[in-house]
Amino acid sequence: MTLLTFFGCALTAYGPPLAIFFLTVAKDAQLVILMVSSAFFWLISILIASSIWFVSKSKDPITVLYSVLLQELFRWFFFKLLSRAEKGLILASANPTSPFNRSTFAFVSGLGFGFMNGLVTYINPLVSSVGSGVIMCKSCPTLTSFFIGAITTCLSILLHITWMVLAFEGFIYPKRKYYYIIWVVLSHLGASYSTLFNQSEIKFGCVIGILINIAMLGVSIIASVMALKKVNK
Amino acid sequence: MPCVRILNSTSVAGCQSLKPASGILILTETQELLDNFIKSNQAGKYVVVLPYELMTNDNLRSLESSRKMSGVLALINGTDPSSPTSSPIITRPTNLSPDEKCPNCQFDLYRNDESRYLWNPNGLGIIQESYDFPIFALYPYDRASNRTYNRIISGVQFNERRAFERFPLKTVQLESLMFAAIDAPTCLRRNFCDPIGGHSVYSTPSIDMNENDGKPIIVVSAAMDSKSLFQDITLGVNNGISGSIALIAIADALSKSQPPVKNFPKHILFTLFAGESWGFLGSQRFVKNIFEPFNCIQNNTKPTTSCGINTGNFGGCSFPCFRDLDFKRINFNNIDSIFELSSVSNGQTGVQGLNYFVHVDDENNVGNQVLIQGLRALAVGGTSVKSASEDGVFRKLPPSSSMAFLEKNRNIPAVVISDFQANLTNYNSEYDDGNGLTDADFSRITTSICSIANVTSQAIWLHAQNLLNPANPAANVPITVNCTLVRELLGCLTINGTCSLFDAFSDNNDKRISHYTGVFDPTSPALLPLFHYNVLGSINANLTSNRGCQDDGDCQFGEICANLNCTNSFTRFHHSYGVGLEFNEKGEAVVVDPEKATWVESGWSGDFDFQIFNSTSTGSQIGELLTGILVTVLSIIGIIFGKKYIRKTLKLD
Repeated sequence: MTLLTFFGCALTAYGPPLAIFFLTVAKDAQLVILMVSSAFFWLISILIASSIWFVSKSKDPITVLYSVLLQELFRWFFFKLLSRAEKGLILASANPTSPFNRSTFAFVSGLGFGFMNGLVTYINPLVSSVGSGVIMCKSCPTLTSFFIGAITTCLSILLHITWMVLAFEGFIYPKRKYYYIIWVVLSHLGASYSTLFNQSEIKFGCVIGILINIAMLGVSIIASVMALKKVNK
Repeated sequence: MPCVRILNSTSVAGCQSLKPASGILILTETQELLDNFIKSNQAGKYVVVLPYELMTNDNLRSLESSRKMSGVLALINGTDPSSPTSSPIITRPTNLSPDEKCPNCQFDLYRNDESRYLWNPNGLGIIQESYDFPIFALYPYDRASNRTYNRIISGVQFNERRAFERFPLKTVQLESLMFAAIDAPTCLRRNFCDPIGGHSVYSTPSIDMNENDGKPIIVVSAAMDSKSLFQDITLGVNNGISGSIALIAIADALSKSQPPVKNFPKHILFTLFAGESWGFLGSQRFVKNIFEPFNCIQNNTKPTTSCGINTGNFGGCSFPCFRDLDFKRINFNNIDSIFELSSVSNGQTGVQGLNYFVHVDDENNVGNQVLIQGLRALAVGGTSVKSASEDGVFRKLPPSSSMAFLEKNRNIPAVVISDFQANLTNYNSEYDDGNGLTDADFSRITTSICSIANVTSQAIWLHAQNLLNPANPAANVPITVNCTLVRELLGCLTINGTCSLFDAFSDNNDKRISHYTGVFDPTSPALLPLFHYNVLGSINANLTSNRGCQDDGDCQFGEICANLNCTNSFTRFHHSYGVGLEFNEKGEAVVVDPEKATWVESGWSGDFDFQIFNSTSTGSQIGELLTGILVTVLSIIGIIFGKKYIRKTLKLD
């Protein structure tokens, strides 16, 4: 009986993002549509990444590199698309005069990116956790890899939200802030590589990985809040 | 290798698990450890690795009622995989049989007798019990089974190191879903069961034998297959293989006789029966067919859906379905005597020399006395053949095919020749495997089979010429059995699947030939009957042509294809399935006599599933669930407050 594991992991992974969705995004149909379209963009990026992997059968570190770069590329594409539609979107939004409309769009797009990322990467392990057996996490042999995966998934969804907010701040033309973009790419790479600790031989590797993720999340949240404060000035 | 569900018209036997059963691996080597496990208050479900010796019905039932056991793995042999040179984990029992104390007694000649002699007093009696949990065998003999075995034993040792407390622990999941339910008639009607059976083989050098020739017939008989709880590992070296090898060796020796045996005053008919362990279905079916008048109700020369055999090629009948009708040439009333070879491979145990025993139904039958004394007088050198009742106890016949003949005519002289006097050893057991079949075992078994085959062939040779005279045994009978052939046959029928005798009809590469009876398929005989058909067919060939063939259909009418050559030989298959079953016009098996053997085997889906994996404790699973709930609740609270904070800091209001 691993049904308890299943519900525990499902809530850990998708509980916080779902709470965010229902408490902030769900009320606004425009934002829901935005979220779905950004999720679609993430999906295209991972389709290309998986095609490359399918042909090259590359090793994990290489795969992480090009899939992260592809995701960032599609983040930029999505920004380009959104900035074309921005005027109309702002016009149709609940509060057309607010200076935070763009940041709201970024937040929602990030949630879409994150959700799709969380679903694609974690739904398979989650479903197999219903079966009779469990797979133990290699670096933390007392915990199941389902549970570690759930925590990592939750963190990466939250990270995607902050990355999108920061990236949009960085992309804004004409005064591009490259340090935001660099931080987003580097922290994305760092967060992705740190998940490799989970299946490594290193003792408590999963703890290291999760701590790195939490640290990145903390820095990104603070940076986003600071950026938003600046927007208001 | 699982235990399979078997049904007959009145009872259910074998194993069934309606859903996959999983449990933590635990090994209980001794009765004491098992009792402690049953009494202990260890939580959770376990798959118990149980030495075969401890698989008594009492133990299995108390495990079942302890509600801690989800399945059983029967440990039959094998060593500790972590140190391959070590002694086996369990000591091999010298005599263990899963069969009943009185095997097949409800189907035999003495079924209505008040007091019965129990031939198998050590029988565990689990083969006819029905268990609603999966039982799999651990019997490493090839690569796949060794790998499974090693994984299981390593899992057990892993759990022992963790004292069954520190999770994760190794868990195994067993799946053996059987479709069968209720009883044989129901299951056959629902089409979820197949009749147990196969093809018996009979053969005679008398190519012109017919029912009106008035010549007496000597029947030389043996069983070709065996039975055990786990069908795939059934070998039956003693019960099954030894008798059939002796029979072939006798046929071979007699075929070299000058003058040829077909010119003798008596016919010699060799019969190898399939499925004798299942209520004597081979012999009872054969006797029923040659005893009762036969009417072919319907005959299409083309194969029909109900019969499936091209009866036109062999002069058979579509309904009732018979490949050929040559069995009608055997006149039951002409049967003069029966020599049956029971288990004969352990002649060398106990007292010095080779000792064999002759069992009869009626000591006072003059014909029996002649045969016993004739055999005894012919046994010379280190071989001795005695009456089984020489110790003063008259036990009548052990489980044997002769009973089917005596059922119809109790006066036929019939001798059952065996290596046991009073008790069966390793009867219908996984341990009837020649003890591992080392070279020494091969030599011992070959000597044992060869010497009794020698005595019996001489007795038959004399008896077929009416010369068997115990008072004056012919000193020089020009008949000897070829011991090299015996040894070759022993290899072929046990562990040398690539033996050249298979070349003619099979590209068999199995290292081990299962001697489980199997389910009846009218159109294609299984490997074992094919083997005997080819071997006996060429031994008893009247004329071997140089025309090559793949199967009987390639040859002229009346010929058979033996060892890839069209051969003029009176060797035939005979359908064997429970006498309580018959096939109707549509080709469906139905129960016609619930008192007789009606064994059917359950169908199942695909392969038996078997998985081994880690499992966590319920405590840590609850921990995971609580974490999930906590994280979700906290994030809801966090978002509500976060929204307020953001509004305040960004001065949105």
